[in-house]
Amino acid sequence: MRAVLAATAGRKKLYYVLDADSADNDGVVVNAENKAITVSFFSFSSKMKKLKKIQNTPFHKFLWTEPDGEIKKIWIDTFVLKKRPIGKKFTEKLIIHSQLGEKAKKQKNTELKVKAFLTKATNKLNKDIILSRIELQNKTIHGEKNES
Amino acid sequence: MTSEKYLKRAFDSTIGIPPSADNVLRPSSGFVVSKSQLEQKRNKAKENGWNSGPDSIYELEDSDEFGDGLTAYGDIQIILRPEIAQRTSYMRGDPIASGGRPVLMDSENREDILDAILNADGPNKKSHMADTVINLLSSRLKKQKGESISTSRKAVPGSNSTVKSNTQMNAQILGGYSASDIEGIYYPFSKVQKYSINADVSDATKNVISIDEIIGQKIPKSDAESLLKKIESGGINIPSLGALRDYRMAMKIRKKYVDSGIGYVLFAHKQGMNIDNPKSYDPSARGNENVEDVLKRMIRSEIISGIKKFHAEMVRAGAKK
Repeated sequence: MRAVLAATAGRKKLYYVLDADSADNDGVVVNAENKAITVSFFSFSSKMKKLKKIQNTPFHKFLWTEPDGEIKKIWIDTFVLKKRPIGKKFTEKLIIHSQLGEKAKKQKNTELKVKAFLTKATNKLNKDIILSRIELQNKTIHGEKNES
Repeated sequence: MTSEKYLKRAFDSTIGIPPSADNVLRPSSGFVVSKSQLEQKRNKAKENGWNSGPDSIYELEDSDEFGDGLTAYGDIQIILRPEIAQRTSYMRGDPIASGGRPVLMDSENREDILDAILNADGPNKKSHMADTVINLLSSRLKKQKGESISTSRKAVPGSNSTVKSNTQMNAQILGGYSASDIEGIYYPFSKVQKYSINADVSDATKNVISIDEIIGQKIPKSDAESLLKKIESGGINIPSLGALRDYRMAMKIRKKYVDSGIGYVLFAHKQGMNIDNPKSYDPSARGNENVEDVLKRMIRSEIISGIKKFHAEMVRAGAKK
């Protein structure tokens, strides 16, 4: 799943799923309890009265603006019929989530643990390298002294 | 106008509401529960050993027999008066997403009913029809134990398909609804439990047991005094005291809604438990006992059994020494 945060409604967050099929639900609501619930994106947003829409990227502007004139067919093909993939220029600066809600939290925790482990392992490795260098230096110095 | 309003208006215009119509004249959304959906839910409860009787009301779940995704909109279920059905249309699936044809709830025309159930008019009608047939087959036919006919033929509906077997029956209430159209509400019991920590139950632990009764359980006087003090301060953690706390909070919530003119407030429980029935707490409850009586009786009996346990532990500890 590739989802983008599109709006908030109180403590709920509404995500648009970029890779949904036309017969699939294309929205995910993450509620106050951090539960991810699959919904129909436009249906949900049309029913929510206090929706705060994100409008600060070209993708979000395209998503939320009424389709009209030349853009109407492109918009419907993209967001309703899902025949047209969303162009790279629209998605390159977006934060795309592969997991949402509890799963995202678990993924983040795992990533943090991996990061902590790698940092610890790297620190240990660096320490070992430093120690072996010191040892090598000592050996060289003592060797030189013995030779002299 | 924004995109979601554009789509909503495009759908509304297919059911005869002109784009120029004012927002207040547009239909409100809801969902319809069919008898077969309720039956499915009660069958599941029965399989799990929960309450499946006629008094069972269930909390909505994210994946639910009444329709997936309903919890995204909230958790309190509002039940409208039966006469609202005369101005309500329904269809399987979401009108905006599926583009299907909503049908008047009291229509007995078989083509109408078929349209509402099959959702045969939308842009993805072939996919919807295929999913509907697969779901129908998988719910009616089993190839082997545990294997549905759909999985055996690798023809399964999409995991996020809008036409799963438990796709919600969407309702459009023409003209919307006001407080006077509400018959009652189903309030989620899990929400009651979140608030119940502050419910006052101090009266239930006062005079529930005397010092002589505790001493009678072979507890030394000094220990009996400190135990009594703990019990009377409510500083004990027993299930029936928690249940009384939940029940009292539920009654407080009910009063708030009923005072504001709502006809009834019933509590939807994850396991269908009827919290107003004393027998839900103790199957041997007598006819003249109410929930408070039963719970207070249970509190006393749990306290006595706790004291007995305390005494047994004291004896065991003494024997070790």
